[in-house]
Amino acid sequence: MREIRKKVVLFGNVGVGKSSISRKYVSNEFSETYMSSLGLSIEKKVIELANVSVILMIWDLAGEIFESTQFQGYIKGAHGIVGIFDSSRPYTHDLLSKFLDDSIDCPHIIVGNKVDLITSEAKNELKKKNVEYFTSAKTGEGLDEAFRGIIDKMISEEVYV
Amino acid sequence: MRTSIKENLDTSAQFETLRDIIVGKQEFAKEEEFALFKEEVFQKLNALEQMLNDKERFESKIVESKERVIDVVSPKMGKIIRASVNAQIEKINEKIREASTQLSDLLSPRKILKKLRGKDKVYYSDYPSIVQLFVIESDTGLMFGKFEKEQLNDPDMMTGLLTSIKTFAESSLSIPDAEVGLIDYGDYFIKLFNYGTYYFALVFNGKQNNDFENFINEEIDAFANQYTHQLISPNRMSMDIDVLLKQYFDKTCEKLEKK
Repeated sequence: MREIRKKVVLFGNVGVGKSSISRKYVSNEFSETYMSSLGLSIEKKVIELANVSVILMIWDLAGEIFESTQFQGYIKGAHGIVGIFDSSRPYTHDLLSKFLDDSIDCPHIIVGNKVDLITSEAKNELKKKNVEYFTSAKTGEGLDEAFRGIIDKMISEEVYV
Repeated sequence: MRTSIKENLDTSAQFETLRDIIVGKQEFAKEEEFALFKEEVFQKLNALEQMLNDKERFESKIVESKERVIDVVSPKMGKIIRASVNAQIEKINEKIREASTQLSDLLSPRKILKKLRGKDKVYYSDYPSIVQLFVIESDTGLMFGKFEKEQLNDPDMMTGLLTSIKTFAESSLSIPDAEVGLIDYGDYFIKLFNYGTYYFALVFNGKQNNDFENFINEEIDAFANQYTHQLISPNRMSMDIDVLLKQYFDKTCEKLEKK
């Protein structure tokens, strides 16, 4: 089966749950390697599609790295970016959304994590801000959908034929 | 055998001299008075002799006055004592240095890694040998292809981590055109060969030397020149690159074994 590799970067403010999402999604299939001095961890997830094996290399950036000199180097060449915010702290969405719209030209999605902590009304408000994906790293809700969403944006439709 | 004071003073002249020393010159009116006085003197001398011969009492006197003895003796003994103390301190320092060296060796990250891996091979003296070779996209850290004589880690994780370390170092140092060239990795070294959009990461063990460096530079340059088209093609397949690497670097390993 054909293999394709993609680099996906997760980023967002401190405490929004990036690492929890990454760990839950990958399920420690491959050993997670967090390097605090570098400000990131890298994980690997293999997704078998119809006739292709997608190897996702997930670069989970620490919240603090956003303002560092390494940030541009870490997102360089990314095939997809998953911006994560805390649904229970709406201001974390506004910062993220502005940055993605202004600075990122590769496929990207915005994910509202900790959806288990908000009401359906609050969720509807966030949907009005074009938030497409909601997850709960605690329950696992929405994780597969979110990552499938970024994969779909990264890979052209003919791959699945 | 010791003789008594009395026996030694049996001559008249000696006794008269002693009497003059102790009590000064005296005139005695009668022979009886002199006899009494002589007896009294002998008693005092005997008491003094007994005291001097009483070892325990003499020692206790010394102990009672030891501080005064030290006051008197120490200035004269100081030089000898200091020399002795310095010699002992030097011996202790030597022991500390030895222990410190042993501790440093024990806490060496390289040796800890070796212990953790349960390996204890000597690698510094060996001529280098190839363990793994990766071709990696510079920006993403994604693996184009691999050649492995021994599998150490998941290759995708390895190339991602290497690239993140490389990116971190190169962006942190802010030195124009500076590139990471060599990484010390436990029992191994990882040498990076930077090209345009991709780089090679060679994992090897053994001690690097000029001969090996020149040889491996030529080998990797030759491979990169020969297969540039395949390496930079957007349609490349990692499995195809793996085959090319194996065909080429198996021969490289054979050449290295003959060195």
